[in-house]
Amino acid sequence: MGGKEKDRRIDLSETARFKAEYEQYFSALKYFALHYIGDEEIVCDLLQDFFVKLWEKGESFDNELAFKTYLYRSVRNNCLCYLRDKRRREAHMAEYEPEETEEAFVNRIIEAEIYALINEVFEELPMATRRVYQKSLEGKTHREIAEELNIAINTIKKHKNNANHYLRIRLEKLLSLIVYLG
Amino acid sequence: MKTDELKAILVRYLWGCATEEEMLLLKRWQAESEENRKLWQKLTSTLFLQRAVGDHNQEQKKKVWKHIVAVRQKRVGRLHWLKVAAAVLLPLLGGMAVWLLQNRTEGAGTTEMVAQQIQAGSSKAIIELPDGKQLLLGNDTVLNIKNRGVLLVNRRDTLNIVNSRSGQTSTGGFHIIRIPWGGEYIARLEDGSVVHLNAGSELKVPLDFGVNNRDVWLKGEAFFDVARDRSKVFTVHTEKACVSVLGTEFDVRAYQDEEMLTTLVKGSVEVVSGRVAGRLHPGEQARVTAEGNLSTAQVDVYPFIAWKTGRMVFENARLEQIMTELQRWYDFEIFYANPGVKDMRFTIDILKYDDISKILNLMAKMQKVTFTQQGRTVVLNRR
Repeated sequence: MGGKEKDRRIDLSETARFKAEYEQYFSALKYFALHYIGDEEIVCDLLQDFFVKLWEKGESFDNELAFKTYLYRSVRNNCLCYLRDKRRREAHMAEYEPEETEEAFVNRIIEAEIYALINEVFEELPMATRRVYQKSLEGKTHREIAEELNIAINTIKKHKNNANHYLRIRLEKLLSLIVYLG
Repeated sequence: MKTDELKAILVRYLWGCATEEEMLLLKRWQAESEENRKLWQKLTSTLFLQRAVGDHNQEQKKKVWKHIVAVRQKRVGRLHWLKVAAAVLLPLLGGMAVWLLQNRTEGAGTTEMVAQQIQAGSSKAIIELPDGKQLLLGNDTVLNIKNRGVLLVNRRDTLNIVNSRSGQTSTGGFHIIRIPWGGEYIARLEDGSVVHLNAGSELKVPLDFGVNNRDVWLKGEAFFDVARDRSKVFTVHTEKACVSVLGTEFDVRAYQDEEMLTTLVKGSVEVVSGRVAGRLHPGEQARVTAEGNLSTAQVDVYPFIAWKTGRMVFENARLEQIMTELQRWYDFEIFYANPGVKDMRFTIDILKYDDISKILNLMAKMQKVTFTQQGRTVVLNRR
């Protein structure tokens, strides 16, 4: 259990199944939608409406790939619809709407899913460890981080070591799942 | 390169653990198109990683999920009201028909009331075959049908489902056993597992049951006595969660609009709702709420499985819950003249094959409540 088979039918009329799919795709879809609409609150509202309707329809899909394609396409359409309506309201009718190629669309999905994967693993780490990581990504030295967060340099090293170890194991596990899916 | 493979290599690169071969693949991939190069730049930017590391999706995910469930329940609630309206209107129409009939036949001297007493349930089941054909099974129906390589045998309230698969593989069809309100049935599955189905329940058994694993789909309540087979997991799928076992005895209660309960008598089962899973030991019960939250606790098993030994047991239960339960078994309508009585509490242990008036009289003695039977409707009021 837990692992999903690629060719398994996805029946959204089962609440358990629906919830599992929601949990799996929420982060990636949010990131994906944010590309079209920069406002997180609006994106969350759109996703909420989208999932409510999806649940109501209770459709089923032949396999994971069909379902995934449907998800990203629908969310993109919802975003574009929202933008169109908004533009109409604001009377910027003439604004240029770039036509997106299929390749760009697929790459955006890859980007969103990598984002969700990394985010999921980091969300499992303690807050303090994440903060150290963020600071170090901002290009700060151990000394600077130590001063800002008011902790010892050794503690920072410990945080990073623990995290690196954990992240590697977790990511490898998630990755093996991806390859299995692929 | 397939996208999933690409994804894995990209993540490995970001983690500094890509092999030389993989690096080469990435180089080639980048050179393929402008879009690929753009994605590469994006993924390797600090901004991207910062966002992925710092975002708080879990909290947001939970919040949005709550909203989704709330909106959903409001909509389902609306449907529920329609059902209630229908439940009230239909008996009224039925009543009118009876009245009209009576008036018409009065001249002929027959004043016999149409039997409208509330009776205890009995063994009743409807079987739906994979081709959509339905069969009603009463007390002593004997059934011996060969249908698409399937043999149904019914002996004394026990329904044996035997799939005589003559080399043919799964057709994707189901046998559906529906137990109406006031009904009860015992089904014996091909692997020897026995399922007691309570009133108002439905069990779906795929034609290829037992070929790879043993999967069944349940709405309502059933007690499972699963035959041991270590090589084939037995899974009960319900709207809210799945219960998986190898061989044991347990009760699953998954009526709509109610929390789902799984009570374990013997052995060990696993309950999975979304991504959360819980393992039960004998005497434990798992509860799954409408939001899909799962919790486990030690319980006294007896009240939860008493129904299958012909008893109804309530421990300090609300009257409304008791009436809903009685309704499933005796199939009647309820009207609360005083809704305040719904919160009265009772502890009862009684044989359910008795006349319903016995239970009602008993409750009337215990608390300040009255039950009046009007045709198929029981009216509740405060005394």
